[in-house]
Parts: sequence; C-alpha cells; structure tokens
Amino acid sequence: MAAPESGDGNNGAARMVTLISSDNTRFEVEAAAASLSQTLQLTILDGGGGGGDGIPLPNVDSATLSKVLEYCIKHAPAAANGGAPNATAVDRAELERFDNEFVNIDQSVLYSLIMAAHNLEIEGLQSLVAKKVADMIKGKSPMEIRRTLGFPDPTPEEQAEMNAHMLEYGWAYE
Amino acid sequence: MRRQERAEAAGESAWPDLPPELLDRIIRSLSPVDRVAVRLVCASWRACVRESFPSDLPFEVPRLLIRRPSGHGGELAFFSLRDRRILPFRLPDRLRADPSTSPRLRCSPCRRWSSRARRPPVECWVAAALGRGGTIALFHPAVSSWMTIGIEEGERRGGFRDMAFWRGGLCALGYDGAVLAFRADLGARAATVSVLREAGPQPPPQVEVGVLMYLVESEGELMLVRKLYRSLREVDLDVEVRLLVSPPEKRRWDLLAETPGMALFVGAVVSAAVPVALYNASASGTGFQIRDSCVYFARREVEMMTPHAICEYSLLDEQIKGVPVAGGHDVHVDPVWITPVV
Repeated sequence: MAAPESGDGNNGAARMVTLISSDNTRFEVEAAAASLSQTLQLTILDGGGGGGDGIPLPNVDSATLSKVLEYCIKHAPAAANGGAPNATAVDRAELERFDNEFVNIDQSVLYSLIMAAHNLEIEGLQSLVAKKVADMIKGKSPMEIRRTLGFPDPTPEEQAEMNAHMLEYGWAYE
Repeated sequence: MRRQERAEAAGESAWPDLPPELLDRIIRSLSPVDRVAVRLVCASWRACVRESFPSDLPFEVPRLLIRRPSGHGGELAFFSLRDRRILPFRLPDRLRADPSTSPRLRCSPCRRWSSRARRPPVECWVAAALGRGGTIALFHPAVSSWMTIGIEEGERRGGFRDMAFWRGGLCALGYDGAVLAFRADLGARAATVSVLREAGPQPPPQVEVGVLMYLVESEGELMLVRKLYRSLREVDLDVEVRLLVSPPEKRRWDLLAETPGMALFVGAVVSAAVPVALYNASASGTGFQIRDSCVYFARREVEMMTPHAICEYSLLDEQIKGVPVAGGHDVHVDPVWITPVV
C-alpha cells in the first residue's frame, strides 16, 4: 500500500478522498488510486475531496464509477512506482491477466468506461478499452461492426451506402 | 446480453456519438482494410477516419488491381499508376477471387427507379451486375431484391459484354455490337428497352483477330470504345472512340478524333473518363502524368511489346506506349481498373 507523496501530513494511514457519482452514490478511495485520473489529481492536489466534501462527478454513474475505481485501485501501486521499473514479471503478468478479464464485458459497458476514462483523463484505461474495441472490430464488415457494437438498424441511406460498398468490397469479407 | 439486445431494439447504442479523439485511438492500431470497413459504419465515423487517415483513401481513380507473380506470394495488390509502384495496401488473405473473374458491377446514384417503393423516391444507389453468362441483375436498396433484365434481348445479341449507367437508365453492350438502353421499374419488376445502336458491321474476316468493346459514361455522355487487333504476332491495334450524339433516337455515333481534357480508362470491371488536369494536379512532382485524348487499357495485350504493362493509346497520333507495371504481375490474370467507392 503506497502512501501518496503529496500527503496532507497524516503520515500513518493513506489519504482517502470521496467521489460522488451522478446518481449521488459516495465512493471512498485512496487518493493514490483516484490520482490515476489527471482531472482528479489536480483537484486532490488542491486539497479537494477530503473530509465530508467529496468530489462530484456529474458525468459518471455509480455502476461505471465503481468499475473505473476497480481499475484504478488495481493499477495504483504500479503507477506509484513510476511505471514500475522494479516490478516483477509476475506482477506484470498479473496486471495483464486482470486487464484482459476487466474488459471482457458488454459493449455498452465498454462505451460507458471509455467515456468515463476520457472525461477523467485516465490514460491507461482509455488505451485498454480502445484496444479491446479495436480487437472487436478487426476482420469484420461494416454491418458486422454495427451488430457487434449494438448500433440501431441502419437508415435506408446508410444501408444504401453499405450495399454500394459491399458491391465493391464484398469479396473482402467472404 | 439482454441489455445489449434491448438497446439494439430501441436504437440506444451511443457508439455513433463517440468523440473523434476516442475513435481515433481505436482505429490507430487497425489495418487499412479494417479502417475501410470502419468508414462505412456510419457517417460520423467516416468523417473521423477520413480526417485521421486521408492517405488510406480516396484511391486515385482509377487504380489497377493485379495479381502478383507467384514469386511474390501471388496475392492481389493495387498498383498506383500515378506513383508507378505497388501500394502497401495488403488485401486480406481470405481474398481468393481473380479480379478478372468477378462479375462486372456498376453503381449509380438514382432517384427515379423507386416509383413503387413505399417511401417517396429518394436519392440513393442502384447497382447492376453483369454475370459471366451475360445476364444483367439490378439491385435497388430501397426494394432490397435483385431483378434480372434483358434475358431475351441478351440471347439475341449473343450475351452482353459491358454496361454503363447513363441518364437514369442502364445501357448494355451486346456481343454483336448493339447498344440497348433499359429503363427499369424495380418496384413493378418491369423494364422497357430501346435500341441506341444497331449491331455493328463485322470486321473483314481476313484481318479479324479479335475485337473488344467497352461502354464509358462521362458527364451525361455515352461513349463506345472499340479495339480491334489485326495481328497477335505484332502490336497492330485499331482503336476507335465513338460518342452518341443527341438526340439518342437518331442512333448517331460520331467518331472522336480526340477527347480534350479527358483520358479514358477501360477494362473488364470498370471503365471511366478521367479529367486529366484534376488527376495530374494531385500527382506529386515526380508522379506519372496521364495525357488527354489517350485510352488506357488495363489488359495485358501489350505484353507482346513490353511484359507487364498498361497500354496507353493516343487518339491524336495513333501511337501505342507501354507503361510498365513496376514489380510485375501474374500474366495469367488480367489486371483491371477499379474505382472503390468510400
């Protein structure tokens, strides 16, 4: 458990901050974990989020926030080591296993996650979800991509464009 | 899963609204082929991919599709005439078809052909496919079914060898040299036909070796390119370009001595008239410059002269020039011009 270097002078326990989701659920997490978010890091450095105040996050619902924090808590120790030059291969393998498992979720949850990671500026999480979505797209036709990501049925114009495309490129998807 | 299905049914997916910087992250690791598919997913995604990867597309039009020699893996590849090099655009391994054996396809924006569709007529695409047997199938997305046309006429003409969309109708070129214009109502599954050109005179048998003909549509005009070989042993070609003169009922096809400002690209899959200035302006300083009043044949007849070459025929001086396909292609598979639509 790593204490944040920029602590508030309370050296014994790790500093905790409170985050408040859009549906008013309160999450108490270590400042080190929350600081994976560039946005939150600034607020925390300014002394926000401590005590009873809490940092409101009007763009993130509680289900998404709990998922985001699960990621942050897991990655905080490695991040605190500055990219973890002294991390063991076992640690890295464990993180990779966690990441793979973590994004093995429904596309709608992936969307909420990447939007939250974007808003909160969590670099690692954005990359992780982007890579997962890219893997879901690889080798698929436009229509298959739409189905995979739960797009609504195409409008006649979109359908016409896809048909025209498939006439030119259809052989690429046989 | 349930949640996803519900979202699908209600059209709730938020992915079309994904901020461009996030989509950019996603597509960065994709291959060009996958990015082409992403372009077609929806309008906002297309705008984003175009912005981030302008080099993938647009293909300069037209582009040559070739099969590489077996020494180079034998895969399909694109050759850029402008840069005179094989493009680093790898086609998927699952692609097996030869370019010259796929059916001919033509697409046309159209608003007239959906008279019986439930929705009011809208601007959309009509596609036509010419099968190997010479039958023509039309497809209209608003009707969502294929319709074959011209079966009887085709039989009488020895099948069709080429076709082109022209002034809201589909023109088909018979093996006997006749040009027919079809006006189809896909909703009613009926087509009317009129003759734009009678069967051409047969070339004198003593010199006839082979004739190839192509239909080219350009800015509302219809052209017929006819190539006659006098001999297979040496390069001895006659190339004729004829233009259908208005009004079309007169069936007058004037011989063109030149096509000012335009070059014609003809091939088994796509033929096109290309504005020379536009094409050359987009070529880099050292790029290959096309010439006006020239016809560019993708077929490899010119191997008699230069192996692995595109044939440039000038209407002005009737001279033939080979443009080498650097890197070479499998001479058993005819290259074709293609014009990808994205």
